[in-house]
Amino acid sequence: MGFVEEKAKQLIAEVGQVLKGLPTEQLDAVITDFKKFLEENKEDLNRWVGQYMAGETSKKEFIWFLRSKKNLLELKTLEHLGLSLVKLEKTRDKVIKTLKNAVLGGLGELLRRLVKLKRR
Amino acid sequence: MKHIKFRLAIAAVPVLVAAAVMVFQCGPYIARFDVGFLEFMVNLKARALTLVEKAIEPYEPHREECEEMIKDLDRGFRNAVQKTANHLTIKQWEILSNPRGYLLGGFLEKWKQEGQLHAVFIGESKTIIAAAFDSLIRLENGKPR
Repeated sequence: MGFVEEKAKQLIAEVGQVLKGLPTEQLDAVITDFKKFLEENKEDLNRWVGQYMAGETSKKEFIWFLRSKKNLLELKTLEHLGLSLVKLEKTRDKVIKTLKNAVLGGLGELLRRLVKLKRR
Repeated sequence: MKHIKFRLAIAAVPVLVAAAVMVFQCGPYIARFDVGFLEFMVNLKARALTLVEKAIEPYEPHREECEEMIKDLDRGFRNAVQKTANHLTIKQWEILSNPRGYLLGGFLEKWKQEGQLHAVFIGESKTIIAAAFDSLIRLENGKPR
């Protein structure tokens, strides 16, 4: 068996071991997440697998890359949440401004009518 | 008289609505943009990437630089903590600087533990760490002015 095949077999066996221990519902969630992750990070993963199989990086380092990518995804999620909050705050401020204008308009109208009533 | 009362009640509706909105308006959702903090991050990113490249050499001669970088990461975290409604940025700094994590803090710790790292590992880590800083910078830059 060649070096590449041996490394690939080892990797698949290790992933299989991790998945074996999971309950079915969790396994489905992991597989869905994993598929999404694979699609989004295809290029990086291909390169990392290539480096690992060529013996340029160790298994530990390959796992390190996956974990740093996960940390990076967490940062990006926080970033997107933050930018959504900025948009939400802008919308809220616009609504408040509109309401304030309506209130001032309403107060003006109220005063005008009261004055009119008093004059009568 | 009934007619007047009805009109008064109608006119008072916006007042009540506004009062309710003002009661429920709980300040900013997110911290304000800080140009000084943004400059700090951009500067730190450049220094961090230069330092990461040096991991091809033994850790010891670069110990001081690494410790200075860790202090700067802590400075960044403390700066973020001081601001109101800044929990997302605080969390980002935590992830970036965590020595048990897999970004800059973890990289520096790994260099310290292993003494020296190799070019392929450094190259891949540098790309990810740069992207991590970019994420922090984009969020700061997108905050309300």
